Amino acid sequence: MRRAGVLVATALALLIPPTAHGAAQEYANWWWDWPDQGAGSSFSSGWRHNWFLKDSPGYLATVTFIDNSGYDWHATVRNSFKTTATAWQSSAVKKAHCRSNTAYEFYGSCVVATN
Amino acid sequence: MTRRTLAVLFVALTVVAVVSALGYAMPERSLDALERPREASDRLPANAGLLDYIDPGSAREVASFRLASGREHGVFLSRTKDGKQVCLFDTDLATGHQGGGCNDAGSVFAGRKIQISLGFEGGPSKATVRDVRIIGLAAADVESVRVELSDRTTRKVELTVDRAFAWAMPQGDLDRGLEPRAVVAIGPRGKTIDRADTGVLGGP
Repeated sequence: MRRAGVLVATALALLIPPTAHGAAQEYANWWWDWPDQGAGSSFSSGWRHNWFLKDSPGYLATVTFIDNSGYDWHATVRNSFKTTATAWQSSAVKKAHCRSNTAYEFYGSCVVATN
Repeated sequence: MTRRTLAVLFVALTVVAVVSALGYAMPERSLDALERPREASDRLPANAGLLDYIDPGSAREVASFRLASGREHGVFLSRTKDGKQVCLFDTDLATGHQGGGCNDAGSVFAGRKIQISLGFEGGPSKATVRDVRIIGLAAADVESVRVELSDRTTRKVELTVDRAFAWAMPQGDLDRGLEPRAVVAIGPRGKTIDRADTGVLGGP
């Protein structure tokens, strides 16, 4: 099953949203195995969009931004769509964070992007 | 069992199998909201955060609501620029903050009766969470939708003509320590036909 992950990873890479004017960073790309398993990007004031791209819908997951002052969460979104997305139009220094909220195993990647 | 009974049983099972296969294989009916004429309210704010990824011309405002903090939000259904996915996004009409989800265009409900998305500000501590809201889309046979809270009480949510819904959690409920647990879809004869978990507020 894990061997199939290579194929899934390639397919997910093709799903990374095109960034018309900026840069994107894939900060997670693996099998998600347990609830509350999470990942985070580097800190930047430029990040605006945060995506959790799953191989199929039905897996509850969260995307949010965490500021570097109080480490508070912003613009948090949680759902089981195939793609879970949030955009926080703030110039604050922040990192993107994504998290699985399910005990079911699935393959997915998390991508943060600037405008 | 007689030969005649067996023949009737065989025909009945064949009909059931064919109908089931057709239902499984046929794509979902096109979402009416995406096909209706565009109105002024369907225009996304120019600062909408995810504007780069969706076809703005396809966007339709399918619900609207006001957060407990007073901020006006629209719920927009739209296609991605490549047309492969359909997205449901909660949009702050002033700041352009957006959040929600996308499924494949041929399977927007992904076999479910409702698709929902929870959004909130603050956290990870539950004590700092505010502006809790749920947006969603309901299949044709959903007659009503209810939000189930942590004390097992429910809140009825109105379905719009576009079969969408939006619920902003009253600050009073949040102050009492309540949080949403699930959204329940009610079908014909009051029967529960789907239940979508929201997860808990804040972080772990």
